[in-house]
Amino acid sequence: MSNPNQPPGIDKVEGLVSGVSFIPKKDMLLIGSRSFKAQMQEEPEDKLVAAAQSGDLAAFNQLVNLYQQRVFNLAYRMLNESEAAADAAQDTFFQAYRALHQFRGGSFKSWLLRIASNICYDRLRVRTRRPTTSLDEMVAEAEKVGGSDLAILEDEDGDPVEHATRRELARELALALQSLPEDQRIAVILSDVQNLSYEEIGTITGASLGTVKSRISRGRLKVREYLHKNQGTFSQ
Amino acid sequence: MALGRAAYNIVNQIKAGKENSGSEGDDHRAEWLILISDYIDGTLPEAASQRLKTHLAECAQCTADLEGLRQTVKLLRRLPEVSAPRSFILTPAQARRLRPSPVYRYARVAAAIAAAFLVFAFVLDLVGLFAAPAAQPSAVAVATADPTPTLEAVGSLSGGTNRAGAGSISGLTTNITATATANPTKVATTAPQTQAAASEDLTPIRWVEIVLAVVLIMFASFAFVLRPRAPGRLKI
Repeated sequence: MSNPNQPPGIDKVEGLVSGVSFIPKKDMLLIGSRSFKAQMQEEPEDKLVAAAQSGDLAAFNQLVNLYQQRVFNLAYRMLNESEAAADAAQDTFFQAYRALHQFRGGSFKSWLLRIASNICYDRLRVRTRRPTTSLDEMVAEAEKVGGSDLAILEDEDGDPVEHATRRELARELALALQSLPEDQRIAVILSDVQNLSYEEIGTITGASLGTVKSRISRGRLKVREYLHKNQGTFSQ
Repeated sequence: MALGRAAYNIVNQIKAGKENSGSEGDDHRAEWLILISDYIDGTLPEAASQRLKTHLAECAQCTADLEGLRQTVKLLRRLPEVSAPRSFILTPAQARRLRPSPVYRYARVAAAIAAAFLVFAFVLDLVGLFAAPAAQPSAVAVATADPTPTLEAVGSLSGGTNRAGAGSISGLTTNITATATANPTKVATTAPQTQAAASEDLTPIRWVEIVLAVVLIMFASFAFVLRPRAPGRLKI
């Protein structure tokens, strides 16, 4: 962001009003006339967080826009149910907004995903106490999940047999994730579905690096064994 | 070849749900599993990678695990992001309900301060700091005239203050009223001078207590009405 050619003092102003690399002094007068939305789109994350913490709802909603897909997908893979995942994601942002003053820097993404994972744990606990989802419903949901996953898993020019196999595989993958214990499931989802680093997963789950690695490796092994046990097509 | 058969048997055992924890094969597997998983993620240090590679060259079971986990990770990473069914952006109305105005925090602090002052006023009242300077000379004056009623007068006075001090915040008004009406009637028959002095001197502290109680109730009501609601119970 810093430009060696820019005059001293501009860096600070630039950080406050815009994320662009250099603002000539004459343009600084025009900043006030730029639309708020345009400014926000250029804001770096920490500026958005600071603005949101000072009560700026538009800034917070920018953060929601940035992370809602990720939060929803975490909840979706954890809960295996679209509507429940949407509720969990909505509650995550409610809770984040309410607790925003408690955020003390670091990775906002990790902080948000930690809230999301806690909410998912709570939902799963309630579900365990009052099991309303039957195995058939779980399979049906997994089929839906598998169906929506097909777009990526299937090859466009694949033959029907291949298509059916891949559909089955996607369904099995969703069920395999559900078969994992919660701590391993969240570790595998964060690592392999969301592509987060071990350190980030440690921050989100509150576990040590060794525990994170252990959960991921055991989770992966269980997914593999589940697929192996339930599907002869795993090796394809 | 023999090692390969052993690995095959172990996989079959796990597939059939006959995992025998603590067996030699499982210990061996667990020992290398985290390293294999780390190796797949490309986060294994160079020295450990070399050690693993050397081991893989002579262990069919770990080679099979490496290949199996690699495929599992590949499949999991191909799971797509699922689109959220709706946006989770917060509306201004939702935001207001989730994070009430700072008046809430001020009301809580003000209630706490009022409560502290109220307790302080009670303590002062109990100690008799406000009543003592005026009441004692009167009592002495009466004592010279007639010792018997003086004792009653002092007794009734201290009884009144004790009752007020022991009373709860909610019952404050009634206690005060009771004391204010009880004291003069009891004292009137025995020591008119004492009654006049006591009612004059007790009035300021009573008023302070009443005002503090009203302020406390007012701030506590504010804090209660404006309290943030839990996201789960929100009806927005």
